[in-house]
Amino acid sequence: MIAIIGLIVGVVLGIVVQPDVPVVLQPYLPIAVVAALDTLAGGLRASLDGAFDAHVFITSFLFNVLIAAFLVFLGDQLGVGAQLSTAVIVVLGIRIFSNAAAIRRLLFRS
Amino acid sequence: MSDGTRIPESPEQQKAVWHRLRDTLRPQATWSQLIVGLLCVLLGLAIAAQLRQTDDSLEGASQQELLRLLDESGRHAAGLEVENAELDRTLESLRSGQGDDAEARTAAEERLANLEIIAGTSPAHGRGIVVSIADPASGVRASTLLGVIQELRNAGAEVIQLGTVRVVASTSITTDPSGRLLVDGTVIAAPYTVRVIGDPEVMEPALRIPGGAADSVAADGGTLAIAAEQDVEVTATVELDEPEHSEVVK
Repeated sequence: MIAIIGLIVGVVLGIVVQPDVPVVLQPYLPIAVVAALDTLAGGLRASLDGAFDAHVFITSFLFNVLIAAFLVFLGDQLGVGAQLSTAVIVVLGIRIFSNAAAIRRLLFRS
Repeated sequence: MSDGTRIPESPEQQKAVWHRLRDTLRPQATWSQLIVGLLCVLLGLAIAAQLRQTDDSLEGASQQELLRLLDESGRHAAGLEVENAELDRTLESLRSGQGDDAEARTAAEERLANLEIIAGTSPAHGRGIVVSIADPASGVRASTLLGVIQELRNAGAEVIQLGTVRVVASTSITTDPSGRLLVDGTVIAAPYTVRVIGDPEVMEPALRIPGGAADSVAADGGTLAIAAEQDVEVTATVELDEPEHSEVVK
């Protein structure tokens, strides 16, 4: 519940405050957001499994975000930024879908 | 998709899952929950920021896209540049054409005035001399008079009027059967007055040179008097006939 409230508060805050994303972070923010969404889905699934651990969630949240951003950064440095971003997005997308599928099965058994 | 997730097999297990969902959704005032909430706030903030960012069309665009856009706008700019140069040229040519027109008009008007004086179609005035040839014995011949005219022409006379007739290129001086002088078919009577526009200092001596026009008139029994004037009016004009056979070569 806190997570949902936090999400809503964050979005509202973002719309109201209209924060400027620092130019340095601009390429990494979208990937980081997708990684965080993936972690969120994973956390929800774990909690439904009864295996939710807040510490694991927090560390994996931060790590996923950092690794995703780092991969994009690395790709930019290697000259394959666009491709690597796509790769990261695809992998994270698959993970989000599989987590969502697991949640659906847990809740509806079909 | 059974990567570690146990699919509930009985209604009890199903209930347990829903129970856990309720547990998950229930606010719990623990530090970890607080941190999770904080992270979610950050995520929401990031999403909102990113959504706004993506609205600014260009900032979220990839490098290739930006390159393509840059290329496109470059081409567009080059096209506009070319068009601008063309329009500038057109404007320039129109402007200069306008100036040229005015200049050409002035030049044409000047030329027309010159030609009118030469052709004798308009009156003229200016510095010159008035020559009176008295002929008490009626001995002055047409050729003598023509000699006077030629001498004046040689001396730079610009406009000549003989009696009441404008002397132009085609002017003839003849004698009719009764011995009277005809200028362009018009009878003129002595004393003959020749009104000449030109440089008096040149024309006067030219008429007086020994064996010249003045002497020929004297030889014919006449006398020639010259008066220099500041403003000689030549009012006689000639009518020009439309050329019947000639056409201008362009």
